[in-house]
Amino acid sequence: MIDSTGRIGLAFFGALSASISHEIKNRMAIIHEQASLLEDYIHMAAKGSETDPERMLKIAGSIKKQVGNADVIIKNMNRLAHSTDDLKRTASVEEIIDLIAALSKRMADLHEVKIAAPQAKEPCSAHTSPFLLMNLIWWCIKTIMPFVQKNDTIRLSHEKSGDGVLIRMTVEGKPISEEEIEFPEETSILAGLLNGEVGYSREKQQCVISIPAALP
Amino acid sequence: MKILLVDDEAEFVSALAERLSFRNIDADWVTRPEDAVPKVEETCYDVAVLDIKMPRVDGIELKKRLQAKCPDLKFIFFTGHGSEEVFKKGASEIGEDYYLLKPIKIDHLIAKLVEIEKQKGGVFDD
Repeated sequence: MIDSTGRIGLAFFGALSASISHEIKNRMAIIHEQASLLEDYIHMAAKGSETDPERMLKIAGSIKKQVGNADVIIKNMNRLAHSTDDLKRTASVEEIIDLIAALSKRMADLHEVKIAAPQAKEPCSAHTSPFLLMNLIWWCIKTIMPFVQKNDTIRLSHEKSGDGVLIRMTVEGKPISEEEIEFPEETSILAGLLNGEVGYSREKQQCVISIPAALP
Repeated sequence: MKILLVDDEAEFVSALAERLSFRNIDADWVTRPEDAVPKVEETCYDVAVLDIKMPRVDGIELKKRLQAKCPDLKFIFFTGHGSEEVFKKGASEIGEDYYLLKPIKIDHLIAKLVEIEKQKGGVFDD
């Protein structure tokens, strides 16, 4: 029998795996279509039609760009997979935020919401569980996403705070009423496992996660 | 035959439209589902080919909106979803015959367009 922590972790890993596979399939569909277009031009050239080298180069460039996009998606998938290597380790919070922001992009795109994770002024690290922390940030993004207006931005940032780290998800755009947001039990379970806390400030339009600098 | 392609990936949908044009099929395309409604209002299309999963408005919802504007319009759907479960769910709502998985085999798509044209009693001049 899988306990609630295992269930939450599997659900997160499953949701992201499905999203990643969809993204890769999309890139492959574009590569297939552009390569087929190139094939059409080659067949037409073989039959005597004039070819435009600039057009050929543009198609080849599109294929290379999509291969590059797929490469980034697969690298992120690999980083996600390796986040389960250690129960806890010292990790850059900035890298964790960057990765989960990238992995949440498809969810954001479907809601037509932007996710921004600008470079921190003073990046910091924490001795924590990268997998559980990404899971918690993802749940928070997923919870607030339906309330964020089209083209508005969820900005992810972090900072040192006493003996811990604060991770903020700030909604830039139309304000959200706190009453609208109900954080699911997954967030409190994950925050508990990280010895942290999670909450939403209506005044600041922010979801805030606090974690200790080091898990015992 | 005049068709409208709707998919949020411009590099996919523009290439598909160009390839269809090489096969004497006149295809317009848009990347935003919202832009498909005015296109249907200004042009009388025979078939709309829609991606199932798009931002804000999915293919099923878009079909309803386009059908309200143009009741004779026929539909083909495609998706990048590889899972059998998603395919079955989509196919049960739309009909397996007109639900295509990406990457698209252009001959398969054209065969569906010919089928639709025949059902409408038209002649397909490929």
